[in-house]
Amino acid sequence: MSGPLAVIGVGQSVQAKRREVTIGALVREAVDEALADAELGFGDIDAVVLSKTPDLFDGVMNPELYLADAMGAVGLPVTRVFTGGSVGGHAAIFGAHLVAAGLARRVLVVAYSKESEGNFTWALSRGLPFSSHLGAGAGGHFAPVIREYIRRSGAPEHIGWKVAVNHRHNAARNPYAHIRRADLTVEEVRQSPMLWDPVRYLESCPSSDGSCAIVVTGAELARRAPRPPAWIHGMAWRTETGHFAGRDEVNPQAGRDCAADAYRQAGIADPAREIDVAELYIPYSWYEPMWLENTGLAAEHDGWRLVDADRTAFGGDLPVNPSGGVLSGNPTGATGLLRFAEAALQVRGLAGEHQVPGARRAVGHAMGGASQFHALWVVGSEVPG
Amino acid sequence: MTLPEPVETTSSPLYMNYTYVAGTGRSVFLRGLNERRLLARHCPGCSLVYAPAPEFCSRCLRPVGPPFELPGTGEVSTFCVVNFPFPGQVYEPPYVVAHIMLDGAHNRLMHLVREVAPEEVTIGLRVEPVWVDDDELDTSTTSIRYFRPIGRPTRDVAAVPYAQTPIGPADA
Amino acid sequence: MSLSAPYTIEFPFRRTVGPKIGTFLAGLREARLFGVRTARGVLCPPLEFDPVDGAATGELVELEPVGTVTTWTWVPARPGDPVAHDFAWALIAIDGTVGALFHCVDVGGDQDQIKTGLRVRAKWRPDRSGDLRDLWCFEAEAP
Repeated sequence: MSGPLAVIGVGQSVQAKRREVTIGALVREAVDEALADAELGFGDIDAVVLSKTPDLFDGVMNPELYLADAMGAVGLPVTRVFTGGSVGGHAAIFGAHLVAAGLARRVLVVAYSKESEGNFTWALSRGLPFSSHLGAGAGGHFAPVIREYIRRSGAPEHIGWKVAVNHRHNAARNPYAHIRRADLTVEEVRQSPMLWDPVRYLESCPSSDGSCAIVVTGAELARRAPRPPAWIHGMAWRTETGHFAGRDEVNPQAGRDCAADAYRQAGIADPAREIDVAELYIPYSWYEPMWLENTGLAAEHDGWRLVDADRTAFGGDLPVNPSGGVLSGNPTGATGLLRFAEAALQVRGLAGEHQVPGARRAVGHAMGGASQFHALWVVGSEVPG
Repeated sequence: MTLPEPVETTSSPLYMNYTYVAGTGRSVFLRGLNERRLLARHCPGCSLVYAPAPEFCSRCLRPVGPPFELPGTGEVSTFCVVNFPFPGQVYEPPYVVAHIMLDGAHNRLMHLVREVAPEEVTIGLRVEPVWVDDDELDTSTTSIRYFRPIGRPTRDVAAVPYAQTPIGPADA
Repeated sequence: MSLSAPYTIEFPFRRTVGPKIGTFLAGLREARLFGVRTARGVLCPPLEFDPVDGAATGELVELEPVGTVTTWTWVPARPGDPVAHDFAWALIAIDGTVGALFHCVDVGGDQDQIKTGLRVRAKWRPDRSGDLRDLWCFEAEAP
């Protein structure tokens, strides 16, 4: 490593059904905001990393060519990263690696999804030759995994409803979030339609359009940045295949290893105590306790107890997704980067109304595929070391 | 100069013809289904048994051994109930999509569970395949119409956390 | 041997084109050609961002649908092409713009008639819908 790395610029678009803007203009909203935050122009960037949703979900092939102008990537090396829903997290880490390797001084990491131009859920439900047509969207994949978690942990069913409420309440403090519901109640979640039993409608993420961008740089330039940097204390990614015999998708090995590696780099021995706030990739409410356990923020089978005790709510001792998270806005290609960027905003003290007071160390986390891709970073307000 | 009222959206259909290749490993399993046989294969590296089996064990990356037939019975590892209609849906909701661990295997097969009310399905439910008629048999999981219960759970699955589920030689 | 089967993927995406390209397409429906201002001149077809420096482009400008062929390739006609006989795919620098527009130049199937520097004028389809195909092709300007 070349020394400490940091995030010095963060930008994002409003997440919503954004039928009025092109993909390029949506991307540019985040890019402009990230550069303005860092007080930089295109000429200050040496490399661009792009992440987006898988091509069949938005029908855009070669986005690195299509969006070169929108990203200001004229004459610069551009790399596209592909890892399903975690892609934004992987892109952030890849961008940081370029700086660490001495290949770039400042990297612009860009992510987007424009889901309103297609139908994401049914793109995940295509029939395949030689198979019964059993696919029923992403929820159809994750619901059985959730049921298995509930069975193993003995969690009561209100945990899922409570997470759904917490995240939507949090989103009410985030002007960029898609679903902002300060008035949502547990009762309303409980009464919402059952889609993929045990997952209800209000326990599921929306399909959103949105973009995110960050600027990553090394220590020297970070110290000269106009606003406080988010220092990268540890970052890791891990992958596992989707179908090996004996695979545990409730608590995937790759996720556990990924988090352990990042904490080791950050010198964190007791994550639950040493992390002030976490932005986790939670597309269905039950993934909060599941990922708390998988990322080492709770003991196995105990994640739901943190939810039950309000410890992960805004104001708790380990707030999860103060931005509202994936449940409040899911532009898939950008969702992972949004988690990483929101973690950075928290330790920079720039998260606005959803700022967790005194947040010094934060986790940004992303998951992709059938929980096959995992990415996590620990960012802090102080220079690591 | 008056500008015309802008066009807002444009159609951009994606249409691609592919040849879908099942893979040599998976094809062994699919050909078995055409004969009402559930074929498994053993990994010499980790001693785990795959049904359906790929060509290589995706944890050891070693080629799996020759196929052998399983009795076909199994257990619901977990499931969801698809409860709402959507475009292109084949089955009428609500229906149960389960991950079924066939007896003697260490990975799961996804299929329907029927002949039981969705609210009666539990993790640990013992199931058996219901095959289609001869003229409908195919190299496809559609050769199994669905799985159906063959009794109540034989053990309390909650008492056996997954991480402690024995993983070992296939002769178990 | 692996089993295989035909497999078709089909999705009906609908793209937002934005105000710049949206006005360009709407102009085609009215048999009018629009470009967009940038620091280095007018671009036709218009883009949201200048590919040279990434800057957001400026206001729309109406153009005379006339230009000069800057380069071309001769192709045999296939089903679905704009014209039924052999023609040239060409880059056409519209008068008053920088850069070029890629389109079909119809010289009546006679390859000897196409050349760099040829002056061409847009030919519009009678039934127009706000689509690039409203611009049927370009034809040589009467001398």
